[in-house]
Amino acid sequence: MAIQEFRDSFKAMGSRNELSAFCRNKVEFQSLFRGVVGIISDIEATYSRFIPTSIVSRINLAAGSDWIDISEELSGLLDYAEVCWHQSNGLFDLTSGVLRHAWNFETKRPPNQEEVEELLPYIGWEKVERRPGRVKLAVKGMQLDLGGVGKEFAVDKVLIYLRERGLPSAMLNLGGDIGVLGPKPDGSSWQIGIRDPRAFTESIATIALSKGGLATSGDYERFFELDGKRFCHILNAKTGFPVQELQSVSVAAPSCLVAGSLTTISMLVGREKALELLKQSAFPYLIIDSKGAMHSNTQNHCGHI
Amino acid sequence: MKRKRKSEGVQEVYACARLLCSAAFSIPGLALIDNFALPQQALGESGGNEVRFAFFNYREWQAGNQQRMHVNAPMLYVKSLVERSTEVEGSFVLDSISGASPLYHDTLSGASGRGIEDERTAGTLGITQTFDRFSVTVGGAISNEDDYDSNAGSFETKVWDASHNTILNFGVSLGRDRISSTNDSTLDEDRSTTGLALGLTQILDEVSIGQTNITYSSSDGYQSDPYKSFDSRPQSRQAVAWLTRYIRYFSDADGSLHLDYRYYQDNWGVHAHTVEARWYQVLGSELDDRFWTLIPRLRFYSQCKADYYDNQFPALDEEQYYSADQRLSGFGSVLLGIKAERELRANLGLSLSADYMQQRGLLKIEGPGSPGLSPFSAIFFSLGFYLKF
Repeated sequence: MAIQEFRDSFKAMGSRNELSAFCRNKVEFQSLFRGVVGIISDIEATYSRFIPTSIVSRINLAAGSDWIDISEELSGLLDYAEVCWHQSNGLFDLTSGVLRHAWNFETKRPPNQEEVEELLPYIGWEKVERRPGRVKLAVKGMQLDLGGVGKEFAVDKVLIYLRERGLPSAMLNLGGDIGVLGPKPDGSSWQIGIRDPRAFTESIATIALSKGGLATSGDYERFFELDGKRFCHILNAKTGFPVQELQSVSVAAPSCLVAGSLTTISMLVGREKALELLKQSAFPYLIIDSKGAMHSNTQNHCGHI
Repeated sequence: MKRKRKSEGVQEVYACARLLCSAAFSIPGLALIDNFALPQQALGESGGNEVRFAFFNYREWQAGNQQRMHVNAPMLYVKSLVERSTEVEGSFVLDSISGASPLYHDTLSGASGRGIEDERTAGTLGITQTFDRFSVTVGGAISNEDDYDSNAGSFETKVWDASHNTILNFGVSLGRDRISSTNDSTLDEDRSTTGLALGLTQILDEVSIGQTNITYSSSDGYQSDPYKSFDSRPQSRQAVAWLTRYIRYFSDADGSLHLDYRYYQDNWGVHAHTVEARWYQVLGSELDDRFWTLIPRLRFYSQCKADYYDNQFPALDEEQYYSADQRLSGFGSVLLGIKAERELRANLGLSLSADYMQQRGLLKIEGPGSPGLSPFSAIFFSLGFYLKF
């Protein structure tokens, strides 16, 4: 019984997603596919701030007043977010979501200084209070937003689920966050294209991945341009303004969650610190700076410079 | 004659990404992610391979400015990933030694002082196969000189838990040496050594790692030094060494500290303490993407003499053990060194190091050093290149 590649797509977490897997037959694939969609849907229901019954919505609603009991998983995720916050010197902050009230990428109008400064008192991981098994946001109006880690966390959980089912080779693309379980049966790697930051439908490089996660952050996902200046959705939690130094960062790591956080932190800390951070990590990376120049530690990409 | 062991590999700088990985794998449900997929391994067919070539120079002085011995040695090291979970490692060294053998104290004037010219070739080969939660390494080593041949084989296994926070290692080695003498063509002796090692590596928290290792070795056969006029040692030696290491990353300075303490004891009465501190610092460059890594180190060593060591030979009878070998005396030493690595271009880097050591009776702790020892100093230099692909 030869195994072959099956592929299907679905919508979840606000994006188009795709699962490819090598299975013995379509029935096996469909069963796995349903399981994967189920896992992602559970994560969304639990952690999305858009869903009123999610734990995150409950925590946000109780800001400034009540302690909320949380699961060990969420506790672990918050601990993880805290490490990211430390490592980025406060720039990576899951409480910075409130800035979207000032930055509306639909109306394409940058806010003035006051509109941004008004929101800063509601931001700051130091205002997230923790006790074993419980959490409370200190100030009413504060919001926890797991959007910065949710998709990557989901990719990791799906990879573990597929591995537990004995699948040797699969690839999940969750809105650009990639997880690969193992090389294809013929030994070759999955070819992942990296979007050209300035030509959305084209790829500027290809990375061959055989195991682990790959994530990309870019200034082109949600943005507007004014007077030749680009304002993107990656916001500095301290100043309230978008980062402007890099066009995109891609990182491959054993965990997609770690890969995604490294790309976000890289976009936040700027070119010099990002290069230092990524070099020390020894993880494969690709940085496309503000001039469109590529910096990478892997020969394993082909691109046009 | 035995040579001093040279160099060691470069340790990893404990970095931000490692902290993130550690925190991620602590999230319930993510512990099963494979932490140690080598980053290069994750990328298609390339990666996990390394070639290092280095040139070592070692010089020793004693009693003033006389240069006693110097050793030049080119060394080649290769590591290759054959399949995704199989790694092969090999090294080759060619030492050439010239100089005078140790001059002792006045009581033995007239002994030695003859020049030495010798060459040693040595090679090692190891194969490591990694499975889901454990790995197995099989290795061998050969060393050849005019008057000394050594062959050894080893087996090691490592086991870890799902989060890779705890790693246990266990190893066994067997060696056989053949000793002869360029002075005495009738000398043809054997020595066999068995070794056992047990160790634990534990990630303590986000920024620190602890390691501890115990090794036991038992050596039977000819232990004496054929070049010493009066030297007679027991036919067996058992030794235990215990090494503990602490590594900590400091995010403000962006550097790592490695602290080692080693205790050694054998049944000849020698016991020794070693304390070493190393600091790993990465320095960036504004002009291009290349970085320097600087590694300064400081090491103290103190040894208590073997029971039968004496610097003056008594009236001997055949039964009594005796050695005036300086290496069995009581002494202490201090070593100060620095190593620098720089990436020249993608995959290619340069490595330089210099170490200065001074050994004297006065530096010994736990009592006075053996009398009559002349202090000696040594300098090691190395220059090398490495290629990773």
